[in-house]
Amino acid sequence: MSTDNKPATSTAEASRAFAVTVSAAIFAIAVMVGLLGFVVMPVLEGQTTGLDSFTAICRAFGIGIPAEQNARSSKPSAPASSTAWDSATRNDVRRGDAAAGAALAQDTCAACHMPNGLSADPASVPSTTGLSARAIYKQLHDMKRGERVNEAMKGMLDELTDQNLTDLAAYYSRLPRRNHDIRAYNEVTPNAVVLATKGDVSRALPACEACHNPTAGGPLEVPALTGQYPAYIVTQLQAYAAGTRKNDLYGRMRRIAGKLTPAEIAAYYDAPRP
Amino acid sequence: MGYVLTTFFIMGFGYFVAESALRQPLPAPRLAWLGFILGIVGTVMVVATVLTGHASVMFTFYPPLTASPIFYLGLVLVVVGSWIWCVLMLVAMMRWKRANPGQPVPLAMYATAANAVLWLWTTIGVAVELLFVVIPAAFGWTQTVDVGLTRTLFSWTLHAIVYFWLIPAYIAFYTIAPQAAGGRLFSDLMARASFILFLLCGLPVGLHHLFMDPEHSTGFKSIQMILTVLVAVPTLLTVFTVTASMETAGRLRGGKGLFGWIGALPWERPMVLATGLSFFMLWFGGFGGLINMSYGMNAMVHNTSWVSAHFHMIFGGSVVIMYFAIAYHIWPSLAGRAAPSVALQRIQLWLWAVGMMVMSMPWHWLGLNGQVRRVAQFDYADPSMSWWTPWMAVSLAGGFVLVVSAALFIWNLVSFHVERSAGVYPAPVKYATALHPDQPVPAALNGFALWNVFVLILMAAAYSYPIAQFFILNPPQAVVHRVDR
Ligand code: HEC
Ligand code: HEC
Ligand SMILES: [Cu+2]
Repeated sequence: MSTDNKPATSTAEASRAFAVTVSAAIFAIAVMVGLLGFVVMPVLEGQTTGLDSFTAICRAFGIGIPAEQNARSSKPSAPASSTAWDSATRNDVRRGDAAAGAALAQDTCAACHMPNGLSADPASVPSTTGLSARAIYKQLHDMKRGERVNEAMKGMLDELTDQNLTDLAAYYSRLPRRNHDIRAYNEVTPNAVVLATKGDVSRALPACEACHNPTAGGPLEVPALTGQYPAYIVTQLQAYAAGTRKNDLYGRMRRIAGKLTPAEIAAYYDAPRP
Repeated sequence: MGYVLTTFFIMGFGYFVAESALRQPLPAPRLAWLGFILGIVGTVMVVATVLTGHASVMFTFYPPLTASPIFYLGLVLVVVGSWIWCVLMLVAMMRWKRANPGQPVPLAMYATAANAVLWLWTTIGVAVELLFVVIPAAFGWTQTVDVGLTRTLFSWTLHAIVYFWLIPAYIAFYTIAPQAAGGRLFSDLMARASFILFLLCGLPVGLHHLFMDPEHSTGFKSIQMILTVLVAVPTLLTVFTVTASMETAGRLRGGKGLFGWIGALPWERPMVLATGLSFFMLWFGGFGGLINMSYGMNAMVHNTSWVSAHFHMIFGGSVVIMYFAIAYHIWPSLAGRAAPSVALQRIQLWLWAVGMMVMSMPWHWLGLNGQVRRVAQFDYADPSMSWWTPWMAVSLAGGFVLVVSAALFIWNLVSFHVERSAGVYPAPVKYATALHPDQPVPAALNGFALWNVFVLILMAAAYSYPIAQFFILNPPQAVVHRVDR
């Protein structure tokens, strides 16, 4: 017992001895852990599956996995869509010139998409009001690149530059929105409302609104559905389900549409025309 | 919650310890305020983006989801604020050592500094992930993310961060609770050793969060599992030392027999009560953790409510209840007045423990029965899930108890300042002295140089190839998915 009862640090020699002992102990433990994890366990496990020790140890390190490489396809991989939301693209879309777009739309689009954005033929041509500039740009860009097949528009898109596309997107996205609350239509089946607002957990179907709602935080390019013509929605869902429309990134819509029954697709947003 | 409550609490407690245990003013209090302001600004940025729906990516970010850059920058500010704290803690300790040569740093300060060292190591993983992968993607500078790499970098942080949260509770166990119970700390050296073991075993173990991930080999997962098992050593050291300290207290107060000392403890004191409740929950949380960290058994509970139950029990329960008790313990000396109602403090602690047990026990059970976590909604009409409903109702009831307890906690602190009736509290906070205060402390347990070398070696062994492989093998990348609109 020291007289002043004040705690003290050990002498230099004692401290050094302590450090050396502890270091040796940690070192020994670390080596043992390494042996266990990389030698003992893999070799023992490997024996039960017929792996020789060397292969087993290599695999434990992550070398030589998978044991047989999958044959590489020589086909170049084709992305679902080459529209990338990098900051340059997002800025270009934001800076689209609506006036230039209006003139261009009058010349090239008006025959099918009326100047107010509604359709000249609701049975086949969609409405382009209420869509965000990003949604419009994405579809135009994909159609131009042939990633979304649209025979009606392909020819004219070949003539248009990227700048033209952003201008058109700016024009159509600034048209007054034509929103129709689906719940206002009593012809809508209750099941469709449930699918749109709640989804169906038993089929792992998310609510359509989880993405198709401008404030939901869904993918940037998600198109608005309210205000869209029922016939168009139905053909698009059928096209996704059949895989003939496949420009949706990650196959998001293909997977969802594939889970809907034909009756559900037919009932979808099956509202009277505005 | 996870980042913000803990970081601010730990910073505040650290500053308090640095002033009260070292009995010297804090170095550079201006810098400390700067850290605090950075933390506040960062928190506002994070909360604003989350509440406005621009950052629905949750606690672990889930790349390739990318939120608004403001969200990540806010987190960076919080972390930078905490780095300032780390540096100040280490400077405070070094100054004291220089002024008091030949004397060991007071335990509370040594442990706080150990936590600062741990946190500096811990944040490297998430900082690299955010600065080099996630934030560039959030700004749109890059279009793809290597999900395996980001998960690995986050795992670097993910286990050690919980020790960063845990250590203040352990500081209270070792340095405050024995004093509050009227006893002595059983062994100062053992306490130092266990803080150091947390530093060593807390870091090279993060892959135990990725057992079911395909991007890592079995060998690295195995060694990190074994290192995780070693965490049991400091935990059991703590259980032993703290129990022994409490036993001394109980016996000093006249407790007799094998268990008589337990009844003799002053349970009416919030710190003692909280320690008891915390230990109780530690058993359950620790047991759940043992299951989680076993490579084999992990497959059974992976991504189920069991995991949520585990971390609520051990963090929300054992650790946060000690945060409450610490707040009650140091508030009188901050406010300069005695607690208006210790009874309300006790009720609050009880409610918290009971609420946490009631809430998380059903999750354990449902998790074992396959209830997945991170799901917004279940189809309780489904026959295979319908029997979960009553259990979830019980769990919800526990949640309500927790809300009441949390509100009561805030009231208990506010009441120090509004209820003028309470008496003045002149005594400064005291820390427990050791049973054998003259035991010499080896230099290694009075600093961190040696241990930093070991952390470096262990981290290199545990993480170098698991990270390097992403650059060697060049695996496919995932397209960024923006959720910020
Ligand atoms: C010959 C008629 C025709 C002309 C002219 C035409 N479109 Fe279309 N457009 C269509 C049809 C038909 C579709 C739907 C294709 C489908 O069913 O997949 C369509 C689809 C679209 C879509 C996709 C809408 C969505 O919700 O996905 C956009 C955007 C669009 N057109 C914009 C334009 C623009 C801009 C122009 C002028 C450059 C234009 N269209 C010219 C017929 C036309
Ligand atoms: C995970 C998000 C998500 C959910 C959930 C979702 N969608 Fe979609 N949907 C998209 C995206 C993204 C697109 C655009 C894809 C593309 O680029 O072609 C899209 C496109 C569509 C289109 C084509 C619209 C057009 O203008 O071309 C229809 C129709 C559609 N979705 C219907 C639905 C229905 C019905 C549901 C619910 C059963 C649903 N979606 C759920 C993301 C989602
Ligand atoms: Cu962990």
